[in-house]
Amino acid sequence: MKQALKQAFFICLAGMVAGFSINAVSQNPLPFWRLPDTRGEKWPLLDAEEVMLRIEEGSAIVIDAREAQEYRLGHLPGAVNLPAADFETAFLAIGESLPRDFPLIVYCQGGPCAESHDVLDYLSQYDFQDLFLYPGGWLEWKQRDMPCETPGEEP
Amino acid sequence: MNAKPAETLGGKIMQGIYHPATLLGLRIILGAVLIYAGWIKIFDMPGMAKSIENYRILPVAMVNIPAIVMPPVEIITGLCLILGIWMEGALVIATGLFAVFIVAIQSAILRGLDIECGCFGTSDAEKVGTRVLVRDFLLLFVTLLIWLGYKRESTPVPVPDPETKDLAAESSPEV
Repeated sequence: MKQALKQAFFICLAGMVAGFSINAVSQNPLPFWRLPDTRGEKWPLLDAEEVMLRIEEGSAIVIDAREAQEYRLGHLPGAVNLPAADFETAFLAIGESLPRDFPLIVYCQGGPCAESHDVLDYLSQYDFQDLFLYPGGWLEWKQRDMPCETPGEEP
Repeated sequence: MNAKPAETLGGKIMQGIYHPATLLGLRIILGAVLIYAGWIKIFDMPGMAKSIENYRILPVAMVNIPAIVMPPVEIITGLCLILGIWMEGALVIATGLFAVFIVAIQSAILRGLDIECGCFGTSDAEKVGTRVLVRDFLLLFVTLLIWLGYKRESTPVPVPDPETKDLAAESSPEV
């Protein structure tokens, strides 16, 4: 068993060296420690009930900042997909039709995900004024069993 | 009269499982699965970090380290299993990996998390669920089978002492 643990240690060590080397030379290296995202303080926050109320009233447009693949698996009712990872292309396709002075609620997967913050930053650069963040995101929405939409179910 | 273990159906099945060719096949399958899983994830470390984060088990500050380290560890472990080098260490890691995956997936199911598994990267969009859990249990079972077979292969068969053997033959009455 001692021999096995020794070998396992060396395999892990080799994996660490290889992983950190590959990460160091990659185009988008990951930091070892992810610092908490404090950009949420920049935007007014909405909880799930407030988001649902605004969807029912039609008094806001909901923006899904996740990747298109995740969006296709399910999203908030009426949400428009503007993926943070491919924002410029998506914005060219549908973003120009969004009214600049209408409230926009942005969400991503949930918890500390950064995509919604990125999209909010982009949107403010494009002169969108009335921006909100739904920090609970998709995970909280699903956990609370709120109404969802998947492609094919949309009106 | 009792049948010898190898003559019973169970014994024959065990002999088949422990056959060197079967064990080699299982090693290649398990190794290939690990290499494939690691190879896909190594080119999408941010996606891997996001998958780990979605499980909400580790603090967010710590999710990048396993995302960086796990893919190469999977590849090296898979290579060791296929090439038959550092087998014991590779089996320890494979057992640990599958055990951790099973605990994480089970915990996500119990908490009702609707998240992608991230088992083979983020491109397959496979959700956590019973299917993924059963697959990981199967892979853990295969790992344990290889481990048992490897132990059996590497344990030296006791060679009977010729003198003792002769004495035993002399003392036994002829029928």
